[in-house]
Amino acid sequence: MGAFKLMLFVAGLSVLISLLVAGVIQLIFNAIRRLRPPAPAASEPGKGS
Amino acid sequence: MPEIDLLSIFQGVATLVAAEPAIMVARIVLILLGIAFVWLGVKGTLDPLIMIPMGIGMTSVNAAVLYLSGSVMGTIFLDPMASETTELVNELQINFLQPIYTFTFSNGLIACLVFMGIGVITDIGYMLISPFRSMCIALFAELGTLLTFPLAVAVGFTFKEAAAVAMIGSADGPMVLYTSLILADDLFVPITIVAYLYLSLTYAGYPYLVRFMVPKQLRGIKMDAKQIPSVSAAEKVTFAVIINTLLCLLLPVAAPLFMSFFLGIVIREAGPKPFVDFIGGPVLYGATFFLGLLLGVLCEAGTILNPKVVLLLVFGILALLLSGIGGIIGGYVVWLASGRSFNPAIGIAGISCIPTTAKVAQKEVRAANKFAVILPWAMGASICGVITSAIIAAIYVTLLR
Repeated sequence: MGAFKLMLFVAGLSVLISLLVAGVIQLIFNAIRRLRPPAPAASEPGKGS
Repeated sequence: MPEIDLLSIFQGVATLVAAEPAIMVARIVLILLGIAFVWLGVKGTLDPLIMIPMGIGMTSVNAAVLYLSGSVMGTIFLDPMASETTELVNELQINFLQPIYTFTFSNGLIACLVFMGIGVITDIGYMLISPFRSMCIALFAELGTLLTFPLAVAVGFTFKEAAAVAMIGSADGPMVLYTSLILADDLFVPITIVAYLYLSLTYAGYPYLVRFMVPKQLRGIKMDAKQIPSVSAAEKVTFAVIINTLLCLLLPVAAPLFMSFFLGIVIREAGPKPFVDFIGGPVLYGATFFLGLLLGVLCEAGTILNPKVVLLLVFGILALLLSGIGGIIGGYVVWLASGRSFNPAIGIAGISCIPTTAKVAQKEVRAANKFAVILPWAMGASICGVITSAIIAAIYVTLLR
């Protein structure tokens, strides 16, 4: 395989793996947020609720 | 009184005089370069954490050449070429830095320790603001890591050497060291030195690239702080464990780096404070110190006289420049995709020189608009940059080893 083809292969594979990682992160984040929604932020003193 | 030959007493001078002219000149140049590194490190022009020990090591090793036996010249610092068991055991008892080189440097442990320390100072929560955007920027910021490879092959580097040289574009010192140790052990010293030298200069050079490529109006775009999610420590630990397992599963060859980085992140979020202090302090700074010192000591005249070193200097700067340009192009792509609400200057932070490039981005944005805060987004892109660099390094190593 020539150097340029190898570069394209490395680029393609790294894009796939990186997007897979980003997808997994997003998926888990959404799942966690669905299962355990974050507690609402406490209101500032003196400003009421 | 027996006749005394002064040169046999002052062997550093004797070996300098007796050496071939090219070696003699190279030794003198490297001694002066070492002094310059110390000076620039002390002044803060170059990174003092690396440059001060590197400069002292470089100066000392090139001054302290002596006759080891008969006419054989060498030093009593370390011998990077010793590989036979008996020879290595002998060297371990003679050369004072040999144990550190053999047991931490040549097997990549020191790079992993630095990575562990980087993990401890990294907040993975920034990456969760927008993982796809951050990863997109980080991928664009690998332009130099990718394009330098065929260019280096075209001028005569082997595939393995070209991959090691191209990794300079990732702007990640431990990653360059790790890759070059595996792929190009005859060139790893100059490659790593060039990488660290240029990384010290990125803080000075990248701001000009940002100003050149991003007009002031766009540099001043304010980011919406409401986008920053509040992420608990337990969530960060969950992400770190899952991503680490996934990456180790996909690319076992870089598992030591992945594990070290994510272990640092988990310790930061969940570990006892003494662990955080230990890894973020003595481990990180101890490993950085010995990394700099060993790089300096490895900078002997014979190693640096390799004709490929000049090419390394050219390709190193080319790789970093291409990565910088790629990162900003990535920033523009996300700017367009987000309906022109994203600050394209964040693109420079996709280069994984964490946290330097994120700081560069924030500094340049602040200069354009003093109310604009982009550091969380920039840190997210930088963390993704570390991950994409490790992925590319692992692919190169897996394919070419």
